[in-house]
Amino acid sequence: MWHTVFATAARNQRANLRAFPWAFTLGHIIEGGYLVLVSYFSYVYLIQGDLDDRFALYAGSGNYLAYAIIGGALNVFSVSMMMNVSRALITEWREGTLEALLLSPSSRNGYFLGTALQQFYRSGMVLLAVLVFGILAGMRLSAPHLLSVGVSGGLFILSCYAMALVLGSIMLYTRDTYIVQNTLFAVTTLLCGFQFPRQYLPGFLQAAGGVFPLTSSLQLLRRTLLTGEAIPLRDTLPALLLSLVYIAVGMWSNRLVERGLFEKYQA
Amino acid sequence: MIQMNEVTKIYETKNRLGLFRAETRTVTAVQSLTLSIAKGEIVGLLGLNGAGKTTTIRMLSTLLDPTSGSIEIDGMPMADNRRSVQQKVNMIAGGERMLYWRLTGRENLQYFGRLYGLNTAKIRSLSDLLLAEVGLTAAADQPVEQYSKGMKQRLQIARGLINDPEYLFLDEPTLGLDAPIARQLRSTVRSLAKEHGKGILLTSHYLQEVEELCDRVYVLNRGRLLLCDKPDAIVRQVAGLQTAHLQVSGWDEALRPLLQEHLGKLGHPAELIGGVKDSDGNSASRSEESYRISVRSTSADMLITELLPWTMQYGLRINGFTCDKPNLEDAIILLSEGRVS
Repeated sequence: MWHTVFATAARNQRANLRAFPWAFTLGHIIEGGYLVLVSYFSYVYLIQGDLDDRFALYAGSGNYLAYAIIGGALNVFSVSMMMNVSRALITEWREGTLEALLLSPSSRNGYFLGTALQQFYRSGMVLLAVLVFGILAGMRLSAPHLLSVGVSGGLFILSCYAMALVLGSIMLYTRDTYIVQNTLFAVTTLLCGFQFPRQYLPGFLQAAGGVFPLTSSLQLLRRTLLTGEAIPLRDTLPALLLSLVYIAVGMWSNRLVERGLFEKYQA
Repeated sequence: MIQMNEVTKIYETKNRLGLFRAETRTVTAVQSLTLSIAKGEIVGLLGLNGAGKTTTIRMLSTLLDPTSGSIEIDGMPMADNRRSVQQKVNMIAGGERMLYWRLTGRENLQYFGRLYGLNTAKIRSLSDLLLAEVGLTAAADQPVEQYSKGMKQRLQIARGLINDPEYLFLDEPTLGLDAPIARQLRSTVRSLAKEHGKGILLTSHYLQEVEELCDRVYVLNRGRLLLCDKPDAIVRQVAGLQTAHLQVSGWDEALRPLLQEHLGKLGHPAELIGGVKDSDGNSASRSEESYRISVRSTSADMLITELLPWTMQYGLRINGFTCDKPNLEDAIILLSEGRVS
């Protein structure tokens, strides 16, 4: 499996660099800077630092700027991670390389992990840019509890990966990327609580947001970054279990759909 | 040996008739097909579009599951040994698919080598060797998007050989290639089978190519097997025997029974089907009049050496010799038009 992971990551990286030699890096830096500016202007000029009392209660911190910048950065990260992993197979299909890939005895999980690894590198650059711009804009974080940041960060990545696998099956089944991905991203942006605490939402929307592993892993990661507190192990279970369920469903459905794809196409 | 036993493939598709209504359509692409490919053998798969050729290749290469029947590769049932089977087979399709255009030729081979679990040293040596074999060493580090169609096709061949497969499936491998490149490819295919002992299944719309390369040919029609034999046997069986036309001077109708008797003594079937005056009527004498004698035989070429002594014995002068040889294309056209039962 690891052969496939590293080979796929290297292949994607080479192909990306060859396709977008300088725009590749610059695009991510601009994206990161824009995100921080929007959060900063909203906070300073739109709401003029006037926060609802409930915000600190819901968010666990009154630091809205850090809350919004972290949420925005993680939203960009999750969207690009989910989009690129989920689109991987349908892109192979469109470019005429899926047959060659499926002919080989390579691990499909390895293939997706390789795509995710390369995407992590790309999205990591955006995160880095956001962090630099955020600090320049006045974002301050408490001293982090490194283990908790590591565990919740890993869970966040895992939940993105898990959701991407399921999304990928849907894309492959419907042979559509645009409507499927944008519908999901609009829903996750609203329900997962990237820009504001989910408690502001009506009860049924809060419950709907709980279906995504992204929601609980985002809350964990942001909580530990904002407060610097350690995360109890039991708090990680909902995100972990939900991610594992999504991964199992995603792998199963991908296998089913990719075989069905040739049936549909051939008929 | 690849053995396909009584394989049937039925596709089920849904046609949407409205928001909540759909009708299910079933298409039988392959029906009760039994087929075998031995190592070192080139087997052709022919038929019209929609005959089930690509479906058959996709089933053999593990991309599709048969609806019923079984496929075994070297005694291993494919259904339970997909990964092991994938190590033994590979497929090369015509056109420009199955390659990553933004990678170089070498990077493509390295990537596919990794997917087959080869180690770095093996991949390096194998990709250098394959690139040299397909004549792409000079372009090895050039992105595939800059390759010509012929170069892409040659890289496809290298990709198809990266796992050193024991069986290779070629789906229209010379589609759209220039004549010299197609010829080179045919020579590579022949060498892969005869010198490297690979079992090869070939589909092609270029029937001359199939006739030239294949040891045996399966002819499919609407998913059913119509015929399986050597190409020349199929031609004989479907399009009939070859006809030799001998132009002679000094012919006499009295010689007809003697010629028939002579033909009956030959080692292969030969039948006199005509003897007509071939001259324009201005000949100075009867002895100069040209006649065309037509003989139907399994091997028209051999007739010249067999008829020459006979014509000399009876004082006939040979003015010309031509052959009508039906080929595989004639046979397939006859089959497709339903003119042969």
